Amino acid sequence: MIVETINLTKRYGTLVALNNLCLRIEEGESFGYIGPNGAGKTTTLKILATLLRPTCGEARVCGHVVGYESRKIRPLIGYVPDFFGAYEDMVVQEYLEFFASAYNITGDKRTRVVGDVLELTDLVGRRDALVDSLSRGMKQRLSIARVLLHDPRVLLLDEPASGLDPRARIEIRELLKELKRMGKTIVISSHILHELAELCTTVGILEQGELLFQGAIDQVLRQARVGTRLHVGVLDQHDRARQLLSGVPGVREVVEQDGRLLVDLEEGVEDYSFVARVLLDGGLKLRELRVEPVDLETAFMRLTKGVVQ
Amino acid sequence: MFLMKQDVATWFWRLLPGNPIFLRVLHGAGRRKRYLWIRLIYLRVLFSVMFVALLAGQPTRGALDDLAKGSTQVFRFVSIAQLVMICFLAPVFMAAAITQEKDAQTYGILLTTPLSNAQIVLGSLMSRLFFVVVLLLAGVPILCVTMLYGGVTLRQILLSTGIAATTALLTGSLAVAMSATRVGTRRTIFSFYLAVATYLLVVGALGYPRAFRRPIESLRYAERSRAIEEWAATGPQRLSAAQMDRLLLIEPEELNETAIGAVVKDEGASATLLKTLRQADDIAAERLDSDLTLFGCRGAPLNTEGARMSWLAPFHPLLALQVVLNEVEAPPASGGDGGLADALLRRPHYGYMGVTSSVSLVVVIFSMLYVRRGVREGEAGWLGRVVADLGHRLGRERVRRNPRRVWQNPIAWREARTRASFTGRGALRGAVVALGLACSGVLLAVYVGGWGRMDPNEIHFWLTGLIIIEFALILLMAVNSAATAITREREANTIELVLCTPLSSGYIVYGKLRGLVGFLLPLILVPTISLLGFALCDAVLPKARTLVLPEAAFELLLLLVVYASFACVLGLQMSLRFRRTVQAVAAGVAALIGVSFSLGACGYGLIGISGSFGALVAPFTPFTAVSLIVNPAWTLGIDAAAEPNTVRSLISVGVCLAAGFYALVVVGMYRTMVRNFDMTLRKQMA
Repeated sequence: MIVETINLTKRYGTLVALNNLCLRIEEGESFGYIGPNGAGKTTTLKILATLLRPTCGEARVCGHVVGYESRKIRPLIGYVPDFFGAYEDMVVQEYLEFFASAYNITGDKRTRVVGDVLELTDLVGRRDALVDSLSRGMKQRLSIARVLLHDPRVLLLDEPASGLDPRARIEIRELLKELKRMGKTIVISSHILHELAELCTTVGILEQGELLFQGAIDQVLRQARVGTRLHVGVLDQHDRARQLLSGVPGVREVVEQDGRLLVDLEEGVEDYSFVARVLLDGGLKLRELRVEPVDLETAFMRLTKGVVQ
Repeated sequence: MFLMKQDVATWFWRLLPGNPIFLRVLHGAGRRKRYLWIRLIYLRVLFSVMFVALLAGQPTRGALDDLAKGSTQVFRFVSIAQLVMICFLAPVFMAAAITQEKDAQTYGILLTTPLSNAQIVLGSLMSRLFFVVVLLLAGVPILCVTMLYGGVTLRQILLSTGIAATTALLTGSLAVAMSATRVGTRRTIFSFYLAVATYLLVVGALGYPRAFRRPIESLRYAERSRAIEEWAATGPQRLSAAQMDRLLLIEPEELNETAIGAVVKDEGASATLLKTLRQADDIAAERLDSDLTLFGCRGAPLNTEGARMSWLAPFHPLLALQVVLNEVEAPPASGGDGGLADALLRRPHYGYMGVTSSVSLVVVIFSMLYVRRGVREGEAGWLGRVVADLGHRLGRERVRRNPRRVWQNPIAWREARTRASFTGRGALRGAVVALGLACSGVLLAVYVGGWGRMDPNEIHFWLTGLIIIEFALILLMAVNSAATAITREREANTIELVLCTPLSSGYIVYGKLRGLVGFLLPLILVPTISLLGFALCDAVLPKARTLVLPEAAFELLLLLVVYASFACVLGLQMSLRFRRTVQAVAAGVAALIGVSFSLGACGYGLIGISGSFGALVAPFTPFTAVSLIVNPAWTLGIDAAAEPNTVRSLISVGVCLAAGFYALVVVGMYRTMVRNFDMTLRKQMA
């Protein structure tokens, strides 16, 4: 277990940001940490990054306890916050050398390491550019370059794709996939769930400081699947279609939305051809009939209440 | 007609009393404890000053005129303290105008609302000014206490408050103009503040009536020195240094052939020397009456100490206040047609308030015209376009440059190098260094070449004043740079990045301190080089008297380094304690002024007890230490020339002891900071 929290609790005055959080992340995993705004994701990452101390409970990184062995933890982690902290009047190379020096990487090794991370993050051509002049996507790549200097075991990334354009998001995603291939343990919080689904092996869903679910992605999809939902479209007489379907055995609920009907079937119902039959027998003209896919986003919406702290 | 009147009334109401920006600040500030604490500390300082002044000026007989003199003295101290606090704290309050809207990113939103330009500018100005005006009004009852025993009039109280208020108004107008034209960024706050402080220090020093004015004894001493040198060069006998000193110290009423004969032992020489010395005394008396420093006001009468008002009085708050306090007199009305210059000089206090109010009005009107027409968000202003064009012509793009080598200690490198970049702080440092070297170069040239009829004593006074001003600037820059060292990291969101690294608290704090002192080193070298230049000249060129002691440069360097380190640690502590840059800078500057003022008062008091004791102890107090090293005769009193070697030894010992003491203080403060660093920062992040 490379990251573990045991009944981790954090309070800010009367506000409980984390409530008895028990998290377990294995080495080499890519862990996606998702939750509504104010759920406590950033607080968790900051505790693991040794920036905050727990109010009670324990957090361990690489076997060391946060708050008591923080100095031993810092060389083993790389933290990318959800904002880019920029030093004025520094160029890219100076920025990386500054942090390399902070990690006690000196001399020829420093030059070599800085060159390597610049190449990995495709910033070689910008090494003499002022950090302030970089685009947001490049700044994010520079942030990731910064945390790779000292070759950490764990990467803590707080919404790394936030505010990026699609191309920049793809670049970051590819970079993270490369890091995953290199065997890094990555803990990443994000709101862009379909990208997390592509990148992560396990996810944790947090709401109001409590962990609702932790496990593999297919497990969370299974848990969120309480029944099949069909999208049904008829050419006219929507109300009649709703009335016809509402009383049919196997149908749990029918809701009209955006000119189509959302039909929730009972759990266990796998054959939904009866829906088409009921409508056609009722003289209605069927325009659309499809199954709503259960992806991470849908699972998240179904599992959380959407309450913001 | 009625509706039109109502519209006009509504317009005026919403311009200021009902201005949404003004009301927002008023409602918010009224509930903040911070402003209550600031008022309490301000009043506490005024009370303390009043108390100290009362103790210092105890009336001897308890008679009414003694009480009136005492209360006049108290009023003098309190009004100067009030004005100094407003002069140095107002820019810090006003500087918040430059960044607050930008930080909150509300400026652009404000511009899209139906609020008029006048409402935006006046609302921003008056909301900042409100705090300062409240401070001034809170101090009025304390000033009025001094009226109880007479000697102080209500007019004087109102004038001194008015001078402080118009100073704050001008500072606020300039800050709002910088905000409106988007020239201001966080970097320019420091430059703005330092520019105001530099103006106040330099112009105040130049115009201070007593700064380069000496009592009649010094003028007599200077004239006699010159006369004796000329006499000795052409006369019948040469004189030793001891004979010369004895001749210089003879009082005018005791100046006769017998007294001179006791020194030179030659009747013929005594007669001619007597005539020469009497002529020198007459020239000194004439000089006292007619000699003007460059900044003395022609026509202004001399006061009892031989000082007169400066023509800079209408342009400087402290110089104008001196006229209100009756320390100097304004010139009487001239017989001619008067004119603006005459009016300003005859009533410099009204003149100052008029000048500052007029300039403020012009600046505010400019801001109103410019606020929506100025630099757009993200576009370069005219200065930025000129710089970019220049860079392009020189083949250098503004957004790229060659990487510099990062030191082993990256924190120290960051403070010393990147904060001293060509823009902002670095340019200011360069300007101060260049100006300081230029001024001392000019003085040295005058000293060596004998130009401008400046005698060595006068040059010495100018040198002393220059070095004291440089020292004040060093301390201000030290505390300002240090006070922003951690708050800027917090505001730029880089503090978390540093805290995640293996760097320990001690390493970070030491790095900051080392980097800050490294940044200040070029400034510290300027007065040192100046003194070294004069000492070398004294050693190489044949001169009758030594102007600067040979060891003075090294003693000054040692003390400047420890004092600068002390100011840096003080600023760092404020930077750690306060979350925002403006708060940290205000607290740092206030602490520095308080410490300097208290220690300086102690220093001058100790010097008054005894010259020898003062020589040993004065190095422990910042400004008296610098004055003592540069000009021991002037600082300790002319009798120091009687025992030069003793005094020199005592000064050297005192400097070493003071350097050791302050080094220990710095180490102690550093250790306390390191202990609290981690806990304080993480608590603030929580």
